[in-house]
Amino acid sequence: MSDLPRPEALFANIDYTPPKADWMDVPVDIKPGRYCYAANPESVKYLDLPNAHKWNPLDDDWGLPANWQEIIFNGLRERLHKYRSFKIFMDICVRCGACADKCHFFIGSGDPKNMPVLRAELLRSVYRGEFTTFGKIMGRFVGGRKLTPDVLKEWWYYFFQCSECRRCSVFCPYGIDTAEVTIIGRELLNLLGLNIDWIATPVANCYRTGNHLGIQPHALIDMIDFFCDDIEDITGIRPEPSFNKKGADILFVTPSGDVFADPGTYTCMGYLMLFEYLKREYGLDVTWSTYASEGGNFGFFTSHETMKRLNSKMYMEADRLGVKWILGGECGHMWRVVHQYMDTLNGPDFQAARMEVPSNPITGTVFKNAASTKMVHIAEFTADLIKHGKLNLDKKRNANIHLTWHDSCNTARGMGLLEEPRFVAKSVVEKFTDMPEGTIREQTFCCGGGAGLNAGENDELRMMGGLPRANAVKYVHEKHGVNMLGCVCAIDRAVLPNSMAYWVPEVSVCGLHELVANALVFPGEKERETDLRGEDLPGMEDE
Amino acid sequence: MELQKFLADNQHSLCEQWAEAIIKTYPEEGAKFFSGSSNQFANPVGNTFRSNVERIYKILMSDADICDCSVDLDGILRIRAVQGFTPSVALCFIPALKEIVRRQLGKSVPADQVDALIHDWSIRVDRLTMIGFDLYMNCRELLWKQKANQLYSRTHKLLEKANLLKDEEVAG
Repeated sequence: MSDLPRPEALFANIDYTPPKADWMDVPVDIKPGRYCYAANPESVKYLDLPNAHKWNPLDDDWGLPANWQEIIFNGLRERLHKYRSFKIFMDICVRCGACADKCHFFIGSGDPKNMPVLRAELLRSVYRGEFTTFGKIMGRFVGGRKLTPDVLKEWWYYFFQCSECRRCSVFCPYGIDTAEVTIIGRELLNLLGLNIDWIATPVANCYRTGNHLGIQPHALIDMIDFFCDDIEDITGIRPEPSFNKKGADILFVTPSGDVFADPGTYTCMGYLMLFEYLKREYGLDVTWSTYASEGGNFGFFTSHETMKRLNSKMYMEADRLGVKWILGGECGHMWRVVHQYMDTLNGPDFQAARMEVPSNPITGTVFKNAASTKMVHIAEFTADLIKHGKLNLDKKRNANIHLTWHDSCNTARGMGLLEEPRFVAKSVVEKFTDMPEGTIREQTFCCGGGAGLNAGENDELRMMGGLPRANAVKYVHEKHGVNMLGCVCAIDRAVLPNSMAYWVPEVSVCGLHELVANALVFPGEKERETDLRGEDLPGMEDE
Repeated sequence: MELQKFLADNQHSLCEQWAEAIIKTYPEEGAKFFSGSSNQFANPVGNTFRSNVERIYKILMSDADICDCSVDLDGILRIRAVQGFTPSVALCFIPALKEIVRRQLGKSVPADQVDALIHDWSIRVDRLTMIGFDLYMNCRELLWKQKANQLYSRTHKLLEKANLLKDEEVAG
């Protein structure tokens, strides 16, 4: 008996260290919890995208067409020719590693293929190996490799583990936008019908019905009616929003998530109250559309072509209704598309037929930054109203809230909207504390579920990706007593509640206009006892 | 030799080895990153591992209730519970501490005295391992609960809209 090894000694011999190998030799291991389900072929078909078929990422056979390599090569060649940025990004990376530790998915997982440099290298290595003379001759010696089914699977797995947040690009000395590499990578995968369903089905719904959930016009109006009932109960004021009104001053477009998912619904109630206030006080005429009922643009996560198709509907609707300009709600990627892509997708000539350079009729402010797009972010709009003293606000109603601000990637990094939301927030809450430097503003951490990754089945990925953001929230919660995380993005409002529940359960999530509406004092309103969530206002607890 | 004194004298080296036992379960590049920057916001995982390991170690070598380790152990396991490890790998670093201490102790005292010296303290580590199972499962159950709630609220809303729920079910 005495010769038997001790349990501890036996245990010590179990080695959990992953084998060391060059990244090209580490085979892709598709793990449940990190990937989203394959696209429903009906949705792919509806959009006329190629090779709609049923497939499962865990199967060996992904149902690829016989000439799949040729399709990818042709697609890659076309895009190298069409997008100069992409061609440059393929050629100029010196693999300095400045971006390597900046991705929230790498920071949270430690998976090297989530380092932006390596994620891009997945595609770049094939470009080198198949498209450059040097790479064709020297192969792996110069970082080139051939396109095999395993390489394709690796592309799919990791390009759908990137939320296209562009934090990595902030640190690249060459200005390489790795998100653009992901965008092209996904576009190539779509040529083979390899999308995920959390993107493909919302895109099909949006294309057909006008919003991601496929909500029909009457149901959309029903939902907004419910909100008006609740607002009336809380404030005694019943908003009377208009829909599809020709000749209105402004068309309002917001992500449908605000209409159907908490806590976005409270933000939506906030919009309704703000517009009602502006109508009663200043005669502002804002209309909602049941056709362009989606600000979000998941086409952006599919291909440039689908992004263009979905983006156009807002402008077609604005043209049809004859409004002066468009006011956009609290959305993330809608703004990235509008700000960075729209001008070359649908062009100013197309969408400026009848619209004017946006100006706020109440304050006279001209939004010159939106001269081309004709579209103003609601945080800019509200900040302008507050700056000119046009809103009667009572901060005390938000006295139980200690707010910190999550800069949403697309609005912060994508369009530089850093000060306006903070200005509005500080005007409506008494306690505001920013998270530490390096975690906010242009260096903000992604929520972990952007770019179509907020599916239920990839929760581990979202939790890992959400860790750096949650870690900074935890810090201000523990140090300063922060209990609310504000943001201006519907995806954030969908992703962050679960992330907070897991990492910092004492902190809730809200949109900006929920706070604005809580503080907004209507002339003649009844004394409010609760906030928009139906929770007692500070000082009303015992009454 | 008194074990408590040994643990205190060797705290730095033992904590480093213990943190290393966690970090070596990651691929090389990831492990290198977690061992690197000590900025708690740029490297939250590595920073949590290092600082929480130290605090747990101090409680282990004191007479304090082992449950006092729960918050710090939870900090580590909350991260590992979402990183795709099997439960045995996620928790492997806890019992590994016994072997780390035993190896180091073996350099200072004769081999036949190690078992006796370490016996009572080893039970504290075993107890920590048990707490670790509870904490790990709490994390996993929370994730499953979130998933279930998501499906539940989706279905509930549809049923509500179709007027297929009784009033009390709508309220609930």
